[in-house]
Amino acid sequence: MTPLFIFFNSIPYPILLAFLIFLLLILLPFVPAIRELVRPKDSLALFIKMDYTKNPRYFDRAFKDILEKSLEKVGYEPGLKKVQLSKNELVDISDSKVVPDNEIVGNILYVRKKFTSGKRVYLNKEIFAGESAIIGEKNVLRAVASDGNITISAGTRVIRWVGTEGSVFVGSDCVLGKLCSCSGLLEIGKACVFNALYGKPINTYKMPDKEVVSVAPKMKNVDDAAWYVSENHFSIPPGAVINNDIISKRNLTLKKDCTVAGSLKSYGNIVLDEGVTVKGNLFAEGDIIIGGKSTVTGNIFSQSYIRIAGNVRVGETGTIKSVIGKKGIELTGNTVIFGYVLTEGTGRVL
Amino acid sequence: MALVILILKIYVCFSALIMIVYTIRHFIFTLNRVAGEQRIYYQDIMDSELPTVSVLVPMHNEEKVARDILNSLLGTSYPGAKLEILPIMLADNPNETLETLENVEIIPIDDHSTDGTKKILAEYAAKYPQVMPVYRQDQKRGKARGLNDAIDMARGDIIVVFDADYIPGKGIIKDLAVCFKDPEVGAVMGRVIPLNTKHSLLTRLLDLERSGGYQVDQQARHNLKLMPQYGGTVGAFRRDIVIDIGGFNPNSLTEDTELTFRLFTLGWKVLYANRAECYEEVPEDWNVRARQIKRWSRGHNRVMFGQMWPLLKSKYLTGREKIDGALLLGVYATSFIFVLAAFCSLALFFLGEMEIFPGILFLIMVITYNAFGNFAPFYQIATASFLDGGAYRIRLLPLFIFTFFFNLWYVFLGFLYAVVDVVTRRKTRWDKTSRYRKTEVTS
Repeated sequence: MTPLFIFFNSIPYPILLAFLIFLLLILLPFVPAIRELVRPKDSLALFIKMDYTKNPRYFDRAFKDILEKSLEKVGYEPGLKKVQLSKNELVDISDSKVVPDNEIVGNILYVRKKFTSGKRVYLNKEIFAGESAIIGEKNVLRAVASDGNITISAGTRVIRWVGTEGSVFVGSDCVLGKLCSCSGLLEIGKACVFNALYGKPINTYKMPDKEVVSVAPKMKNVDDAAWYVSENHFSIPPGAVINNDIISKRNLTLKKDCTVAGSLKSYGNIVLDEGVTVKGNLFAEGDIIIGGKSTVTGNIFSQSYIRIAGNVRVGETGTIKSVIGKKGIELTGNTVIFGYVLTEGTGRVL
Repeated sequence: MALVILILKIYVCFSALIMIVYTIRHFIFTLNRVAGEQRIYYQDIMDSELPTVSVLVPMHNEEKVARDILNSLLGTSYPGAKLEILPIMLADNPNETLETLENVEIIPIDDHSTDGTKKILAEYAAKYPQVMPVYRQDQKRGKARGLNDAIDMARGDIIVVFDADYIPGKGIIKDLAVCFKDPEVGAVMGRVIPLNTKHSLLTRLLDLERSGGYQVDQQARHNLKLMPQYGGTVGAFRRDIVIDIGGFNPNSLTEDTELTFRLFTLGWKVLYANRAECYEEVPEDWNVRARQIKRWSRGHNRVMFGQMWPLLKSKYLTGREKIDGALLLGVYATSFIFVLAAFCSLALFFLGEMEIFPGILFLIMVITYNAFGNFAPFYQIATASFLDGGAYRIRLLPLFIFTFFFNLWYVFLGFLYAVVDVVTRRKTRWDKTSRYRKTEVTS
């Protein structure tokens, strides 16, 4: 009989059992740990997409590239072709294509010249049109790419993206999917919904000047006459000219016709009254509200909502600037944005 | 004796309180990442008018990794081609660099290398005009000194710094530089991801530790508008500010932490860019890791001694920022507090005075802390791993028990070194981390 055996034999069985259970529970988590260490299933470095750069023109260009590479293998003769994309797909190749009203199209369309669809057409797969694409009213389409112009008629719903080397003209009441981008002009009608837009520039629908929304109150406030600083608010009086950046820990308002040559940052909201000019960027933790006839030459970035009234201009000809509102963006008519608009929430053209 | 026992008991209670505070901090950060509102960073901003950038790469005997970082940097894209990359070795002819600013400036800083680093840099400088090495031979060695020399000759508005073992992706410079459109931002920190994870137990645990530190800790601080830390690499800062504050402290072992606190106390902000990801090489050897963490602790604690008061009295910081800043400064002092508390507990035990609270309350506290307190860092790392999509690596969590004791000891030693540094005002010497790469990753 070994001393160890004598020792264990002297311990009452319930205590020995409790000790063994305790030991088991302590050691149990180490079993999968040691298994993962000895026979690793997940030991590679976390993946970084090393060649990633932000490119709002990526989707349609990548689609066209992949599609044409696949078609090179099977030829471009008109008709249905089976090609290997991410999975096997049927591609309908044609010189020009007209889809009549109320049709449902289940194949990818590769149209060398002009594509036209009638009313209430369902286009369940991507379309490429070499010269132009005219999408009829109340269509539902997955995605459309083109080397020419794209026209999207009223009431159409895009599931994924629209992209072209030319311009895009969007009618009213459209849903523009995850991204609507072009290398030329992007013109958007009333009551459209979007996540991201890219154009040079982006124009919202034309609206008579008298309908331009202004954020200015009708009654005169004290800060319409003086610089005003309170615990929650900091406002700059009408017509002030400031040549500096402004950083505010509270809400910041620039009254009518102010000019700032610098960037603005606020930990609350930023409100630009009518006719304000900012030669710089706007950054806010809260909402950014831009009154009619204002100009911002730089980027507009909010962790909350952005609301832009009519006759507002963001950026300048030949530049790319961004309007990014995390929770949502609202645009009205006569707005011109040179570059990129993005929201994680819902973007609307009112 | 009664007084000694009272002091010991008060200290044990104080250290328990500190541990609970840090536990709560872990939980707040993790819960923020699990269920809180996530603030977005500026990486989605597309802007055709970005600031000019100089990229600095401090190097000391980096022949194993120099080509990788230079190849990666030469492959980056930056709108408007306003990038310069400067590896640091003091240039014989500074005018040479002026001709190529319009393009790209890469400044590798060769700091007293005795291996083939110089030759590699000369080769790249001859081939690519945007690579403009700074050769340092006669000056004193050290990362901070090298950076100061290179900052003086760099012409970019924004300085981006990478360590030599890093492999930056194509879009990272733009992702880092774009945040300086915000007039309040003084510096930005990207995310570091270990490349050599599968080498050993140590590298796998460091991989998880980094995930917890960046994916949860740094991002939560960004979300909560607290104090994300500039980490000295995969980061960027405004050149003029750093020149204005006299450059990096050459005696600091953690010049990055010092810059973070100097910026915050002067009213600037440091941002964290979670998507600006970059591969690095982590130590594969426990001795190297021990030296590294001891150096971090020593440097960080020295910064704590120097920056705690300016932080607390800064007029630019909110109460929340000051609390977070103080906890961040104190993070490498916790090991000392803990070890000392363990000795105090032992003393109380042998004096028969362990009963600080009534028995049942003490038991409940111990059980509660064991259930939730010790769980906090594991919860943070597991959450980070979940967010990163790492399914099986979470299984390694129990093995952190080894690094807990390992880190505890070397961080404790680092604290003691820092105290001696401050008391004796002795100079510190930069201890470079070893490199392990055997083949070029970018070839």
